Amino acid sequence: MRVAILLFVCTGILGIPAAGSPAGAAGSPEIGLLLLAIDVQRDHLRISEGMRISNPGPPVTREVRIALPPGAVYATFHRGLPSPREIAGGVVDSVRFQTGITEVAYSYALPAARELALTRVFPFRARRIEVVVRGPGVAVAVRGGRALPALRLGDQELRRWELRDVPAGSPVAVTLRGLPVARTWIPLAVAGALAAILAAGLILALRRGLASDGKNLTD
Amino acid sequence: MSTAPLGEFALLAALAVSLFGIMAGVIGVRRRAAPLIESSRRAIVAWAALVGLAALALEVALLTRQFQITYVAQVSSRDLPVLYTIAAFWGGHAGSLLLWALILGIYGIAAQRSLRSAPELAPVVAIVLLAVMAFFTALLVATSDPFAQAAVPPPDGRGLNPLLKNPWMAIHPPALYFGFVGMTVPFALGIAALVTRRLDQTWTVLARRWVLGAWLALTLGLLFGAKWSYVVLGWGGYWAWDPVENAALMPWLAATAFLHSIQVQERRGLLVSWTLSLIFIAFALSIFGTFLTRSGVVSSVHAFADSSIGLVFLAFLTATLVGSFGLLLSRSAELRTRGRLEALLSRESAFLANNTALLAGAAVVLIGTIFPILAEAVTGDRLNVGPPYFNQAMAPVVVLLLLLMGVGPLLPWRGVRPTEFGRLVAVPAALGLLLAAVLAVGGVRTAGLLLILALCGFVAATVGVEFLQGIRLQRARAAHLGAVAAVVALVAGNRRRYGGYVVHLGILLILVGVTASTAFATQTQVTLSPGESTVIGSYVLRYEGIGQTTGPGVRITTATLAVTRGGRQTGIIQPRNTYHVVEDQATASIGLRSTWRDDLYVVLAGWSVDRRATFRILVNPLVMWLWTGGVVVALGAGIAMLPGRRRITAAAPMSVAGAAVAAPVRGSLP
Repeated sequence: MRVAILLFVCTGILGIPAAGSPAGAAGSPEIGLLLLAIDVQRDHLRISEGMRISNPGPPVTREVRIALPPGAVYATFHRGLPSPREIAGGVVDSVRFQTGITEVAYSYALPAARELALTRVFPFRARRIEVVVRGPGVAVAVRGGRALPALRLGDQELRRWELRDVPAGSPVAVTLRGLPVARTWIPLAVAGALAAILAAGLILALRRGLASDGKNLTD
Repeated sequence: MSTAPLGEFALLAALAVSLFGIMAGVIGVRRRAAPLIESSRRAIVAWAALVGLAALALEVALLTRQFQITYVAQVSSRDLPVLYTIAAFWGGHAGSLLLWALILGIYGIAAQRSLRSAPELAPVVAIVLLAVMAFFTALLVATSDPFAQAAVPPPDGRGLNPLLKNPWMAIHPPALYFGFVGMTVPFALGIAALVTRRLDQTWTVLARRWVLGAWLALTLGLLFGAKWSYVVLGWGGYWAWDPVENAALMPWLAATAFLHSIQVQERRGLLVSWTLSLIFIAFALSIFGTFLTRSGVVSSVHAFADSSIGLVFLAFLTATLVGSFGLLLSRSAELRTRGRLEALLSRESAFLANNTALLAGAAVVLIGTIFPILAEAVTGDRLNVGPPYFNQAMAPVVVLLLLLMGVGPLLPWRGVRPTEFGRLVAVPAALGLLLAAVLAVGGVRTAGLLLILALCGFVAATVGVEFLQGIRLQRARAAHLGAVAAVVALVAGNRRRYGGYVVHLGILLILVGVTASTAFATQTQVTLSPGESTVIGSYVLRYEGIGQTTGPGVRITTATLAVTRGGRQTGIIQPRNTYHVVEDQATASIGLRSTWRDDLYVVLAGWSVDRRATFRILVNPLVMWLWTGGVVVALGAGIAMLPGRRRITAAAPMSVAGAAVAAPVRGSLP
């Protein structure tokens, strides 16, 4: 949900046009703008991908294969893929591209440790890809990407990168370092310390010989 | 912010504290070191506080939709209403165990208070309580962690089982757990009495009140479960001898036996070992009940084999039984009583017979419950015994118990001559027979049914006679008292005795309700078009139409029927079918019209696009008596639990005249 909101906000702020710019090769759908939004969460990323696909030619039906990164879970299809089928490494769907713009949007979650190298490939040539990252303190590198001024949404900062003219199937590589991970050892450590204090107290009490110091119970 | 770390810490710390408390208590008792014993006592309070903190962490996680916690994702969803989000706490396995622990913590603190009058028992009670606490926290930490987290949280939870989205189900498990867990303190008292060799009345007085509280909670839990089954499952009944129901019935039967047996110990000093055995059995059956519902063994013996918790529970159960009965055997010399049953026709004999019948009932239920499991383990095939086995096997037990409920209160302690006994039972027995005759004339021809209803009349008459005698005595003492004031004074003067009689009346109402609704129910299934009518019993139902509405996560189909009885419109009835979108499951919401006479119970079984609808319609007589009986039982148990003057008399009157005059001090019911 949070990712969908992020995607929606970005789309609004970036002013993605309702109609795509003139297409490239006539008769071949291509992506006018692809928004790759990464929401950094503890132990995982929420990733949303939204694309405006323009088709300058007559309506055409294409099998669209969306590759998902290994380990991706909770894939949710918001727009453009009417009945996605799961296949090895992603999903596939038959999409009818009308003349003009077709929007496709989906999101998924990805488990992450301290560092993650995310590589994405897309089914069509993309005239422009914008990578948006929300994650304070996380070092982000987008290979071949040009940094854009960050956006501020209240107290949150959205960092942006831009890539242009990415051919279909060409990888978009994003590296994230310093991702937050849960410190699962803390409860155990604190409880262990408490147990140690209790055990020490018990041993101390026994060594002091409470039975002979006048604090005995009377029968 | 996730509350999981806080909850995990609280449980781990609680485990450490309970282990510390056990060690401090054991060393303190052995070395007679007061500070260590005090530390052990305080460990209970600390444990309760830590478990309370864990429970709070889980409840906050549920309410703030922390789906990274696996348990929260399993039992709740974003569209779950707040009431059911709160109740989702015990909607799954790990949360149920945490609820067990939370209630144990509450009882642990309450026990500290009640044990002020028994300082010599308190240290051992604390050790036993801490051992049970350690067991449950170890389970929560090792096998059933409610705070286990998923690497990636789902966007939404799976939601609570739709069948559990009912107010009765929101209160049924806590009530049952208050009953199950409530057996822990009397169990600990029994162990403490044996360990310290203080087998006087100190432990029995304390244990009786604790068992009565647990018994009341179990009774209410059973009734809440029955009500849920009646209004949610849509099968028209309220008791199906389901293993989960049986799991609660078994300790209830054992606790009922204890509440009667303990009076013989208090009044005559007899049955000491027996009474201790009963409390050990009641506790073991509570653990067994939790094991049955939590190990997965109910669904399949293979599920049990696959779950680690099943074996752990079984080991704990075995240790409990071996430990408690081993201790009992080791004290057999001290437990030998010099007294004996002096007459067959005596109060103590009636109580012994009542105990035998109740334990026989528990055994019948136990055998019927575990037989399918054993059969599956041995043959690989599951052989369910089903309601016919339970109904046939329990019928003689119920008849015997009814007979004893009628006879027992009339019998004096130590014994009565047969002729005098005949005179005592003459009026109630005549009233019971009169009722049977009226019913026979009214068309009831089944002998078993007549016998049960006649016995119900007999017991009601006995209670009536007891009350009338007591009122007469009150008014003889203070002539100005009106009837109501005399009843109040009578009950206030001996709460245990008259609270017990009120409980008996409640049980009678339940039995009459169960008997009538089982024997005289009628049902039909019809398919109607809008405007068509059907007749069942004295009711005419006209199908008005059907409509659909949507709510958060649900699609509700509602049929409307106008109900007429004796030519008079009595209102409308609206059975529903609710489709839960997230869970992809449909549940029935019955249309119900309850009166003292009967329940009109309508289930929307199906419908088609042309608005034709199929209904299953039942008329269940006297079901309201059953629920009212539950309220009366709760009232009676509440009266009996109130602290009052203790009356422990050395001997009971032998003569009938004496028995009649001394009725208010002749003894008491639980």
